[in-house]
Amino acid sequence: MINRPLLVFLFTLLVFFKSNPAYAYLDPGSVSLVIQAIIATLAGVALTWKHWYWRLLEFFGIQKQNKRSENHNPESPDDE
Amino acid sequence: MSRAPGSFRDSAGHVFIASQRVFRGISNDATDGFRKFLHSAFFRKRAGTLIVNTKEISPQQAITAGIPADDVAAYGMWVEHDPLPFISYPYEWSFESLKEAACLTLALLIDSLKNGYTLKDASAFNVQFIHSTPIFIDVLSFCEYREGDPFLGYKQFCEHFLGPLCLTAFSGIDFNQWFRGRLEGLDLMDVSAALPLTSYYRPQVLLHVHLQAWAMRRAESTSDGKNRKETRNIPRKNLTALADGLRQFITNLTRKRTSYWQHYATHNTYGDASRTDKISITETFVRNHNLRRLLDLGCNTGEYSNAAIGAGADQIIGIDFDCGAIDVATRKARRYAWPAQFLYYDIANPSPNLGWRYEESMTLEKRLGSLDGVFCFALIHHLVIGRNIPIEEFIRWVCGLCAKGLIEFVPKTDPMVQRLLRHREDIFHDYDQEHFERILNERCTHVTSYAMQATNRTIYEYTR
Repeated sequence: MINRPLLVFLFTLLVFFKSNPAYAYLDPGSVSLVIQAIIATLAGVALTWKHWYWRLLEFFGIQKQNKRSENHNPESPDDE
Repeated sequence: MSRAPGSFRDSAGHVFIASQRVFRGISNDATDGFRKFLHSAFFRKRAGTLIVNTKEISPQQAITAGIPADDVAAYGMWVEHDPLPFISYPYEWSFESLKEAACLTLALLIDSLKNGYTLKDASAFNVQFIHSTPIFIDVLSFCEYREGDPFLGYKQFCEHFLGPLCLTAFSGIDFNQWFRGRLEGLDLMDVSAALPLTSYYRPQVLLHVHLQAWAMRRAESTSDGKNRKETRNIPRKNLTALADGLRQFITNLTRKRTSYWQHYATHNTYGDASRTDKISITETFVRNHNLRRLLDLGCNTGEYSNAAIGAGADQIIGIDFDCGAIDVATRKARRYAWPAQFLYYDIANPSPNLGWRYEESMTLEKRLGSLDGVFCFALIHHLVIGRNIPIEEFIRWVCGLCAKGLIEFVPKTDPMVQRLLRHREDIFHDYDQEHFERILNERCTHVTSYAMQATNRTIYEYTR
Protein backbone atom coordinates (compact mmCIF):
# COMPACT_ATOMS: atom_id res chain seq x y z
CA MET A 1 0.00 0.00 0.00
CA ILE A 2 2.84 2.40 0.88
CA ASN A 3 5.45 3.28 -1.68
CA ARG A 4 8.67 1.28 -0.95
CA PRO A 5 11.16 3.93 -2.25
CA LEU A 6 9.45 6.51 -0.05
CA LEU A 7 9.91 4.32 3.02
CA VAL A 8 13.56 3.68 2.18
CA PHE A 9 14.04 7.46 1.88
CA LEU A 10 12.30 8.12 5.19
CA PHE A 11 14.35 5.55 7.08
CA THR A 12 17.57 6.86 5.55
CA LEU A 13 16.74 10.18 7.19
CA LEU A 14 16.98 8.51 10.58
CA VAL A 15 20.71 8.03 10.14
CA PHE A 16 21.09 11.75 10.75
CA PHE A 17 19.37 11.76 14.11
CA LYS A 18 21.26 11.57 17.38
CA SER A 19 19.80 9.80 20.40
CA ASN A 20 19.20 10.99 23.94
CA PRO A 21 17.29 9.47 26.89
CA ALA A 22 13.59 10.30 27.32
CA TYR A 23 11.68 10.04 30.58
CA ALA A 24 7.97 10.66 30.99
CA TYR A 25 5.03 9.30 32.98
CA LEU A 26 3.43 8.56 29.61
CA ASP A 27 4.83 5.93 27.26
CA PRO A 28 5.53 7.90 24.08
CA GLY A 29 5.91 4.68 22.06
CA SER A 30 9.30 4.00 20.44
CA VAL A 31 7.77 3.55 16.99
CA SER A 32 5.83 6.80 17.32
CA LEU A 33 9.00 8.67 18.31
CA VAL A 34 10.72 7.47 15.14
CA ILE A 35 7.70 8.37 13.00
CA GLN A 36 7.51 11.76 14.69
CA ALA A 37 11.17 12.40 13.89
CA ILE A 38 10.60 11.51 10.22
CA ILE A 39 7.48 13.64 9.84
CA ALA A 40 9.05 16.58 11.72
CA THR A 41 12.00 16.47 9.31
CA LEU A 42 9.67 16.43 6.31
CA ALA A 43 7.66 19.30 7.81
CA GLY A 44 10.87 21.26 8.46
CA VAL A 45 12.05 20.70 4.88
CA ALA A 46 8.65 21.78 3.53
CA LEU A 47 8.78 24.91 5.68
CA THR A 48 12.25 25.80 4.40
CA TRP A 49 11.14 25.28 0.78
CA LYS A 50 8.13 27.50 1.41
CA HIS A 51 10.35 30.16 2.94
CA TRP A 52 12.70 30.20 -0.04
CA TYR A 53 9.76 30.08 -2.46
CA TRP A 54 8.37 33.29 -0.94
CA ARG A 55 11.83 34.88 -1.00
CA LEU A 56 12.11 34.03 -4.71
CA LEU A 57 8.68 35.49 -5.47
CA GLU A 58 9.65 38.62 -3.57
CA PHE A 59 12.92 38.86 -5.50
CA PHE A 60 11.05 38.87 -8.79
CA GLY A 61 8.50 41.31 -7.39
CA ILE A 62 5.64 38.78 -7.79
CA GLN A 63 4.83 38.75 -4.08
CA LYS A 64 4.91 41.68 -1.70
CA GLN A 65 6.77 41.57 1.63
CA ASN A 66 3.59 41.93 3.73
CA LYS A 67 1.99 38.92 2.01
CA ARG A 68 4.90 36.74 3.09
CA SER A 69 4.70 37.93 6.66
CA GLU A 70 1.02 36.83 6.71
CA ASN A 71 2.20 33.33 5.86
CA HIS A 72 5.04 33.31 8.32
CA ASN A 73 4.73 32.34 11.95
CA PRO A 74 6.54 34.77 14.25
CA GLU A 75 9.01 32.95 16.46
CA SER A 76 9.21 35.60 19.15
CA PRO A 77 8.36 34.51 22.71
CA ASP A 78 5.95 36.35 25.00
CA ASP A 79 7.40 39.36 26.81
CA GLU A 80 8.35 38.79 30.40
CA MET B 1 -11.73 15.24 51.26
CA SER B 2 -9.23 12.98 49.47
CA ARG B 3 -7.70 12.95 45.99
CA ALA B 4 -10.05 13.02 42.98
CA PRO B 5 -10.39 9.34 41.96
CA GLY B 6 -9.40 9.89 38.31
CA SER B 7 -6.23 11.85 39.16
CA PHE B 8 -3.44 9.30 39.52
CA ARG B 9 -1.55 8.93 36.24
CA ASP B 10 0.94 11.78 36.55
CA SER B 11 3.09 11.56 39.69
CA ALA B 12 3.96 15.28 39.36
CA GLY B 13 0.70 16.20 41.11
CA HIS B 14 -2.89 15.28 41.94
CA VAL B 15 -6.28 16.97 41.94
CA PHE B 16 -8.31 17.35 45.13
CA ILE B 17 -11.92 18.49 45.39
CA ALA B 18 -12.93 20.15 48.65
CA SER B 19 -15.75 22.55 49.56
CA GLN B 20 -16.82 22.43 45.88
CA ARG B 21 -13.46 23.97 44.95
CA VAL B 22 -10.70 22.42 42.82
CA PHE B 23 -7.14 22.16 44.19
CA ARG B 24 -3.96 20.54 42.97
CA GLY B 25 -1.07 19.34 45.07
CA ILE B 26 2.28 19.54 43.27
CA SER B 27 4.83 16.87 44.20
CA ASN B 28 8.13 17.93 45.82
CA ASP B 29 10.11 17.00 42.67
CA ALA B 30 7.94 19.10 40.36
CA THR B 31 7.49 22.15 42.62
CA ASP B 32 10.38 24.34 41.44
CA GLY B 33 9.67 23.87 37.73
CA PHE B 34 5.94 24.36 38.17
CA ARG B 35 6.30 27.51 40.25
CA LYS B 36 8.51 28.99 37.54
CA PHE B 37 5.86 28.11 34.93
CA LEU B 38 3.04 29.58 37.02
CA HIS B 39 4.84 32.94 37.18
CA SER B 40 5.94 32.93 33.52
CA ALA B 41 4.62 35.51 31.03
CA PHE B 42 3.51 32.57 28.84
CA PHE B 43 1.12 31.24 31.49
CA ARG B 44 -0.05 34.61 32.80
CA LYS B 45 -1.01 35.74 29.29
CA ARG B 46 -3.17 32.65 28.68
CA ALA B 47 -4.59 32.00 32.17
CA GLY B 48 -8.36 32.36 32.24
CA THR B 49 -8.72 32.25 28.46
CA LEU B 50 -6.83 29.30 26.96
CA ILE B 51 -5.57 27.70 30.18
CA VAL B 52 -7.63 27.38 33.34
CA ASN B 53 -6.92 30.17 35.80
CA THR B 54 -4.66 28.86 38.58
CA LYS B 55 -3.25 30.57 41.66
CA GLU B 56 -0.85 29.38 44.33
CA ILE B 57 -2.29 28.98 47.83
CA SER B 58 -0.58 28.32 51.14
CA PRO B 59 -0.74 24.86 52.75
CA GLN B 60 -2.80 26.45 55.54
CA GLN B 61 -5.41 27.65 53.01
CA ALA B 62 -5.59 24.10 51.61
CA ILE B 63 -6.20 22.70 55.11
CA THR B 64 -8.85 25.36 55.82
CA ALA B 65 -10.64 24.37 52.60
CA GLY B 66 -10.98 20.83 53.92
CA ILE B 67 -7.98 18.90 52.56
CA PRO B 68 -6.54 16.59 55.26
CA ALA B 69 -3.33 17.93 56.83
CA ASP B 70 -1.47 14.67 56.03
CA ASP B 71 -2.28 15.07 52.32
CA VAL B 72 -1.27 18.73 52.37
CA ALA B 73 2.10 17.90 53.94
CA ALA B 74 2.81 15.27 51.26
CA TYR B 75 3.07 17.87 48.48
CA GLY B 76 5.60 20.65 47.90
CA MET B 77 3.12 23.25 46.67
CA TRP B 78 -0.65 23.83 46.41
CA VAL B 79 -2.66 25.64 43.76
CA GLU B 80 -6.34 26.35 43.28
CA HIS B 81 -8.07 26.24 39.88
CA ASP B 82 -11.11 28.27 38.86
CA PRO B 83 -14.12 25.93 38.91
CA LEU B 84 -15.76 24.90 35.62
CA PRO B 85 -19.52 25.13 35.06
CA PHE B 86 -19.80 21.52 33.83
CA ILE B 87 -17.52 18.55 33.15
CA SER B 88 -17.89 16.64 29.87
CA TYR B 89 -15.87 13.85 28.30
CA PRO B 90 -14.39 13.54 24.79
CA TYR B 91 -16.70 10.63 23.91
CA GLU B 92 -19.66 12.96 24.49
CA TRP B 93 -18.29 15.79 22.35
CA SER B 94 -19.35 16.66 18.84
CA PHE B 95 -16.89 16.36 15.96
CA GLU B 96 -16.57 20.16 16.04
CA SER B 97 -15.77 20.15 19.76
CA LEU B 98 -13.06 17.50 19.36
CA LYS B 99 -11.60 19.60 16.53
CA GLU B 100 -11.62 22.68 18.77
CA ALA B 101 -9.92 20.75 21.58
CA ALA B 102 -7.29 19.35 19.17
CA CYS B 103 -6.53 22.81 17.75
CA LEU B 104 -6.24 24.28 21.26
CA THR B 105 -3.77 21.54 22.25
CA LEU B 106 -1.66 22.16 19.13
CA ALA B 107 -1.81 25.94 19.48
CA LEU B 108 -0.59 25.64 23.08
CA LEU B 109 2.18 23.26 22.01
CA ILE B 110 3.38 25.69 19.34
CA ASP B 111 3.17 28.68 21.70
CA SER B 112 4.86 26.82 24.54
CA LEU B 113 7.76 25.77 22.27
CA LYS B 114 8.31 29.45 21.44
CA ASN B 115 8.48 30.21 25.15
CA GLY B 116 10.77 27.45 26.34
CA TYR B 117 8.07 24.99 27.41
CA THR B 118 6.49 21.91 25.88
CA LEU B 119 3.59 19.56 26.55
CA LYS B 120 4.48 16.20 28.08
CA ASP B 121 1.14 14.65 27.12
CA ALA B 122 -1.78 15.37 24.79
CA SER B 123 -4.83 13.67 26.26
CA ALA B 124 -8.24 14.88 25.12
CA PHE B 125 -9.18 14.75 28.82
CA ASN B 126 -6.79 17.70 29.33
CA VAL B 127 -9.39 19.92 27.70
CA GLN B 128 -12.77 20.98 29.03
CA PHE B 129 -15.37 23.41 27.71
CA ILE B 130 -16.78 26.55 29.26
CA HIS B 131 -20.07 26.40 27.35
CA SER B 132 -18.73 25.86 23.83
CA THR B 133 -15.27 27.40 24.32
CA PRO B 134 -12.39 24.99 24.97
CA ILE B 135 -10.03 25.54 27.87
CA PHE B 136 -6.90 23.57 28.78
CA ILE B 137 -7.17 22.32 32.36
CA ASP B 138 -4.09 20.18 32.98
CA VAL B 139 -1.51 22.81 33.92
CA LEU B 140 0.96 20.07 34.90
CA SER B 141 1.18 19.00 31.24
CA PHE B 142 3.53 21.93 30.65
CA CYS B 143 7.18 21.26 31.33
CA GLU B 144 10.50 22.84 30.46
CA TYR B 145 11.66 22.32 26.87
CA ARG B 146 15.24 21.38 26.03
CA GLU B 147 16.38 21.88 22.43
CA GLY B 148 15.96 18.58 20.60
CA ASP B 149 13.22 17.16 22.85
CA PRO B 150 10.53 15.29 20.93
CA PHE B 151 6.82 15.86 21.62
CA LEU B 152 6.20 13.02 24.09
CA GLY B 153 2.42 13.29 23.68
CA TYR B 154 2.57 12.74 19.90
CA LYS B 155 1.25 9.16 19.94
CA GLN B 156 -1.41 10.11 22.48
CA PHE B 157 -2.43 13.09 20.33
CA CYS B 158 -2.89 10.78 17.33
CA GLU B 159 -4.94 8.31 19.41
CA HIS B 160 -7.10 10.89 21.20
CA PHE B 161 -7.61 13.45 18.45
CA LEU B 162 -6.33 12.68 14.98
CA GLY B 163 -7.55 9.06 14.77
CA PRO B 164 -11.11 9.79 15.95
CA LEU B 165 -11.37 12.89 13.74
CA CYS B 166 -10.12 11.03 10.64
CA LEU B 167 -12.58 8.23 11.32
CA THR B 168 -15.53 10.64 11.22
CA ALA B 169 -14.12 12.78 8.41
CA PHE B 170 -13.06 10.01 6.01
CA SER B 171 -15.02 6.88 6.98
CA GLY B 172 -18.23 8.58 8.12
CA ILE B 173 -18.07 6.63 11.42
CA ASP B 174 -18.87 8.72 14.50
CA PHE B 175 -15.98 8.33 16.93
CA ASN B 176 -18.06 8.65 20.13
CA GLN B 177 -19.00 5.06 20.89
CA TRP B 178 -15.58 3.75 19.93
CA PHE B 179 -13.88 6.33 22.15
CA ARG B 180 -16.20 5.48 25.05
CA GLY B 181 -15.08 1.89 24.80
CA ARG B 182 -11.40 2.84 24.81
CA LEU B 183 -10.56 5.72 27.16
CA GLU B 184 -6.88 5.63 26.19
CA GLY B 185 -7.86 6.68 22.67
CA LEU B 186 -8.35 4.83 19.39
CA ASP B 187 -5.71 2.31 18.36
CA LEU B 188 -4.10 3.71 15.21
CA MET B 189 -3.82 0.24 13.66
CA ASP B 190 -7.61 -0.10 13.96
CA VAL B 191 -8.18 3.42 12.61
CA SER B 192 -5.87 2.79 9.67
CA ALA B 193 -7.76 -0.40 8.81
CA ALA B 194 -11.11 1.41 9.00
CA LEU B 195 -10.11 4.36 6.78
CA PRO B 196 -10.91 4.21 3.04
CA LEU B 197 -8.23 3.97 0.34
CA THR B 198 -8.83 7.61 -0.64
CA SER B 199 -7.39 8.68 2.73
CA TYR B 200 -3.93 7.48 1.57
CA TYR B 201 -3.85 10.46 -0.80
CA ARG B 202 -3.97 12.90 2.11
CA PRO B 203 -0.32 13.38 3.20
CA GLN B 204 -1.21 14.08 6.87
CA VAL B 205 -3.30 10.89 7.11
CA LEU B 206 -0.75 8.85 5.16
CA LEU B 207 2.09 9.88 7.48
CA HIS B 208 0.50 10.30 10.89
CA VAL B 209 -2.01 7.46 10.71
CA HIS B 210 -1.15 4.90 8.02
CA LEU B 211 2.65 5.07 8.24
CA GLN B 212 2.57 5.07 12.04
CA ALA B 213 0.13 2.13 12.10
CA TRP B 214 2.25 0.24 9.55
CA ALA B 215 5.40 0.82 11.67
CA MET B 216 3.53 -0.30 14.82
CA ARG B 217 2.38 -3.52 13.15
CA ARG B 218 5.89 -4.13 11.87
CA ALA B 219 7.46 -3.46 15.29
CA GLU B 220 5.02 -5.92 16.87
CA SER B 221 5.98 -8.69 14.47
CA THR B 222 9.75 -8.03 14.45
CA SER B 223 10.39 -7.10 18.11
CA ASP B 224 13.90 -8.17 19.21
CA GLY B 225 13.01 -8.05 22.92
CA LYS B 226 15.63 -5.41 23.76
CA ASN B 227 14.61 -2.50 25.96
CA ARG B 228 15.94 0.77 24.64
CA LYS B 229 15.16 3.99 26.50
CA GLU B 230 16.12 6.49 23.90
CA THR B 231 14.59 8.90 21.49
CA ARG B 232 15.53 11.15 18.60
CA ASN B 233 16.62 14.74 18.60
CA ILE B 234 14.09 16.87 16.78
CA PRO B 235 14.90 20.52 16.09
CA ARG B 236 12.33 22.95 17.51
CA LYS B 237 11.66 24.43 14.07
CA ASN B 238 10.74 21.00 12.69
CA LEU B 239 8.54 20.13 15.66
CA THR B 240 6.70 23.44 15.30
CA ALA B 241 6.23 22.78 11.57
CA LEU B 242 4.80 19.32 12.36
CA ALA B 243 2.33 20.75 14.89
CA ASP B 244 1.37 23.60 12.57
CA GLY B 245 0.76 21.19 9.67
CA LEU B 246 -1.49 19.09 11.89
CA ARG B 247 -3.38 22.16 13.09
CA GLN B 248 -4.08 23.37 9.56
CA PHE B 249 -5.17 19.88 8.50
CA ILE B 250 -7.52 19.42 11.47
CA THR B 251 -9.01 22.92 11.09
CA ASN B 252 -10.15 22.04 7.55
CA LEU B 253 -11.65 18.62 8.38
CA THR B 254 -15.39 18.17 7.84
CA ARG B 255 -17.79 15.32 8.56
CA LYS B 256 -18.14 12.88 5.69
CA ARG B 257 -21.77 12.05 6.34
CA THR B 258 -24.69 14.32 7.21
CA SER B 259 -27.45 12.84 9.36
CA TYR B 260 -31.23 12.88 8.99
CA TRP B 261 -31.75 14.84 12.22
CA GLN B 262 -29.15 17.43 11.24
CA HIS B 263 -31.79 18.96 8.93
CA TYR B 264 -34.82 18.21 11.10
CA ALA B 265 -35.27 21.81 12.22
CA THR B 266 -35.99 22.79 8.61
CA HIS B 267 -37.51 19.50 7.30
CA ASN B 268 -39.87 18.36 10.06
CA THR B 269 -43.37 16.98 10.23
CA TYR B 270 -44.91 19.64 12.45
CA GLY B 271 -44.55 22.90 10.50
CA ASP B 272 -43.68 26.50 11.29
CA ALA B 273 -46.76 27.30 13.40
CA SER B 274 -45.93 24.58 15.93
CA ARG B 275 -42.30 25.63 15.91
CA THR B 276 -43.28 29.20 16.79
CA ASP B 277 -45.57 27.86 19.53
CA LYS B 278 -42.74 25.79 21.03
CA ILE B 279 -40.38 28.75 21.01
CA SER B 280 -42.98 30.96 22.69
CA ILE B 281 -43.83 28.31 25.35
CA THR B 282 -40.11 27.83 26.10
CA GLU B 283 -39.52 31.57 26.44
CA THR B 284 -42.54 32.02 28.74
CA PHE B 285 -41.45 29.03 30.89
CA VAL B 286 -37.90 30.36 31.33
CA ARG B 287 -38.99 33.96 31.88
CA ASN B 288 -41.89 33.27 34.29
CA HIS B 289 -39.78 31.11 36.61
CA ASN B 290 -36.56 33.07 36.10
CA LEU B 291 -34.69 29.87 35.17
CA ARG B 292 -30.94 30.09 34.62
CA ARG B 293 -29.50 26.58 34.27
CA LEU B 294 -31.41 24.19 32.03
CA LEU B 295 -31.10 20.78 30.44
CA ASP B 296 -32.38 20.36 26.87
CA LEU B 297 -33.24 16.68 26.33
CA GLY B 298 -33.18 15.79 22.64
CA CYS B 299 -31.73 19.20 21.78
CA ASN B 300 -31.36 18.51 18.02
CA THR B 301 -29.72 21.61 16.50
CA GLY B 302 -30.30 23.77 19.58
CA GLU B 303 -33.27 25.81 18.36
CA TYR B 304 -35.15 25.74 21.68
CA SER B 305 -31.95 26.13 23.69
CA ASN B 306 -31.52 29.39 21.80
CA ALA B 307 -35.07 30.43 22.75
CA ALA B 308 -34.29 29.70 26.42
CA ILE B 309 -31.07 31.74 26.22
CA GLY B 310 -33.00 34.62 24.65
CA ALA B 311 -35.41 34.48 27.62
CA GLY B 312 -32.62 34.77 30.18
CA ALA B 313 -31.07 31.31 30.69
CA ASP B 314 -27.32 31.54 31.27
CA GLN B 315 -26.33 27.90 30.97
CA ILE B 316 -27.80 25.21 28.75
CA ILE B 317 -26.63 21.62 28.51
CA GLY B 318 -28.15 20.04 25.43
CA ILE B 319 -28.02 16.30 24.78
CA ASP B 320 -28.99 14.32 21.70
CA PHE B 321 -28.25 10.89 20.25
CA ASP B 322 -27.57 12.30 16.79
CA CYS B 323 -23.94 13.35 16.26
CA GLY B 324 -24.74 15.36 13.11
CA ALA B 325 -27.35 17.44 14.94
CA ILE B 326 -25.09 18.26 17.90
CA ASP B 327 -22.39 19.23 15.44
CA VAL B 328 -24.69 21.86 13.92
CA ALA B 329 -25.75 22.99 17.41
CA THR B 330 -22.09 23.30 18.51
CA ARG B 331 -21.20 25.40 15.45
CA LYS B 332 -24.14 27.73 16.15
CA ALA B 333 -23.18 27.98 19.83
CA ARG B 334 -19.63 28.96 18.86
CA ARG B 335 -20.72 31.42 16.17
CA TYR B 336 -23.31 33.22 18.29
CA ALA B 337 -21.52 32.76 21.67
CA TRP B 338 -24.45 30.92 23.24
CA PRO B 339 -23.83 29.91 26.86
CA ALA B 340 -24.57 26.33 25.83
CA GLN B 341 -22.80 23.01 25.41
CA PHE B 342 -24.24 20.26 23.21
CA LEU B 343 -23.28 16.66 23.79
CA TYR B 344 -23.75 13.23 22.24
CA TYR B 345 -25.82 11.22 24.69
CA ASP B 346 -28.06 8.25 24.14
CA ILE B 347 -30.65 8.32 26.93
CA ALA B 348 -31.36 4.60 26.50
CA ASN B 349 -27.65 3.75 26.74
CA PRO B 350 -26.16 6.61 28.79
CA SER B 351 -22.54 7.47 29.67
CA PRO B 352 -21.63 5.07 32.51
CA ASN B 353 -19.03 5.21 35.27
CA LEU B 354 -15.81 4.26 33.50
CA GLY B 355 -12.10 3.72 34.01
CA TRP B 356 -10.07 2.39 36.92
CA ARG B 357 -12.48 1.18 39.63
CA TYR B 358 -15.32 2.85 37.65
CA GLU B 359 -14.17 6.17 39.09
CA GLU B 360 -12.39 8.01 36.27
CA SER B 361 -15.47 9.28 34.46
CA MET B 362 -18.93 9.61 35.91
CA THR B 363 -22.51 9.39 34.74
CA LEU B 364 -24.24 12.53 33.47
CA GLU B 365 -26.59 12.65 36.47
CA LYS B 366 -23.63 12.83 38.88
CA ARG B 367 -22.10 15.72 36.90
CA LEU B 368 -25.21 17.79 36.24
CA GLY B 369 -25.36 19.54 39.60
CA SER B 370 -28.48 21.54 40.41
CA LEU B 371 -30.73 22.33 37.48
CA ASP B 372 -33.44 24.99 37.36
CA GLY B 373 -35.42 23.39 34.56
CA VAL B 374 -35.64 20.70 31.91
CA PHE B 375 -37.28 20.71 28.51
CA CYS B 376 -37.95 17.61 26.54
CA PHE B 377 -39.51 18.17 23.13
CA ALA B 378 -40.32 15.50 20.54
CA LEU B 379 -38.47 12.79 22.44
CA ILE B 380 -40.97 10.56 24.25
CA HIS B 381 -41.98 8.54 21.14
CA HIS B 382 -38.35 7.81 20.23
CA LEU B 383 -37.75 6.20 23.61
CA VAL B 384 -41.13 4.64 24.39
CA ILE B 385 -41.92 3.37 20.88
CA GLY B 386 -38.47 3.45 19.24
CA ARG B 387 -36.58 1.84 22.14
CA ASN B 388 -39.40 0.11 24.09
CA ILE B 389 -38.76 2.07 27.32
CA PRO B 390 -41.92 1.81 29.53
CA ILE B 391 -43.76 5.15 29.48
CA GLU B 392 -44.02 5.31 33.32
CA GLU B 393 -40.27 4.82 33.69
CA PHE B 394 -39.51 7.49 31.11
CA ILE B 395 -41.75 10.11 32.78
CA ARG B 396 -40.38 9.17 36.21
CA TRP B 397 -36.82 9.66 34.91
CA VAL B 398 -37.54 13.05 33.30
CA CYS B 399 -39.38 14.35 36.38
CA GLY B 400 -36.57 13.08 38.63
CA LEU B 401 -34.00 15.28 36.88
CA CYS B 402 -35.47 18.59 38.02
CA ALA B 403 -38.50 20.01 39.84
CA LYS B 404 -39.65 22.09 36.87
CA GLY B 405 -39.94 21.16 33.26
CA LEU B 406 -41.67 21.10 29.90
CA ILE B 407 -42.48 17.80 28.21
CA GLU B 408 -44.11 17.26 24.85
CA PHE B 409 -46.51 14.40 24.22
CA VAL B 410 -46.59 13.09 20.64
CA PRO B 411 -49.73 11.00 19.97
CA LYS B 412 -49.90 7.87 17.84
CA THR B 413 -51.66 9.79 15.05
CA ASP B 414 -48.53 11.91 14.54
CA PRO B 415 -46.71 11.17 11.23
CA MET B 416 -43.42 10.57 13.09
CA VAL B 417 -44.99 7.97 15.40
CA GLN B 418 -46.70 6.40 12.38
CA ARG B 419 -43.29 6.10 10.76
CA LEU B 420 -41.87 4.38 13.87
CA LEU B 421 -44.78 1.91 13.85
CA ARG B 422 -44.79 1.35 10.07
CA HIS B 423 -43.08 -2.04 10.06
CA ARG B 424 -43.95 -3.36 13.48
CA GLU B 425 -46.85 -4.46 15.60
CA ASP B 426 -48.32 -1.80 17.86
CA ILE B 427 -47.68 -3.32 21.29
CA PHE B 428 -47.79 0.09 23.01
CA HIS B 429 -51.34 -0.07 24.36
CA ASP B 430 -50.62 2.27 27.25
CA TYR B 431 -49.10 4.94 24.98
CA ASP B 432 -51.96 7.45 24.91
CA GLN B 433 -52.50 10.98 26.10
CA GLU B 434 -54.87 10.08 28.92
CA HIS B 435 -52.41 7.61 30.44
CA PHE B 436 -49.54 10.09 29.97
CA GLU B 437 -51.51 12.81 31.81
CA ARG B 438 -52.42 10.42 34.63
CA ILE B 439 -48.77 9.46 35.24
CA LEU B 440 -47.62 13.07 35.09
CA ASN B 441 -50.37 14.19 37.53
CA GLU B 442 -49.40 11.42 39.94
CA ARG B 443 -45.78 12.59 39.98
CA CYS B 444 -46.28 16.37 39.92
CA THR B 445 -48.21 18.88 41.97
CA HIS B 446 -48.93 21.31 39.18
CA VAL B 447 -49.46 20.43 35.51
CA THR B 448 -50.52 22.84 32.75
CA SER B 449 -51.06 21.83 29.15
CA TYR B 450 -50.53 23.88 25.97
CA ALA B 451 -52.13 22.69 22.75
CA MET B 452 -50.18 23.62 19.63
CA GLN B 453 -51.44 24.93 16.31
CA ALA B 454 -51.53 22.72 13.23
CA THR B 455 -50.56 19.56 15.11
CA ASN B 456 -52.09 17.24 17.68
CA ARG B 457 -49.03 17.34 19.90
CA THR B 458 -49.34 18.86 23.39
CA ILE B 459 -46.75 20.44 25.66
CA TYR B 460 -47.08 20.03 29.43
CA GLU B 461 -45.48 22.27 32.00
CA TYR B 462 -45.01 20.53 35.34
CA THR B 463 -43.80 21.33 38.83
CA ARG B 464 -42.86 18.43 41.04
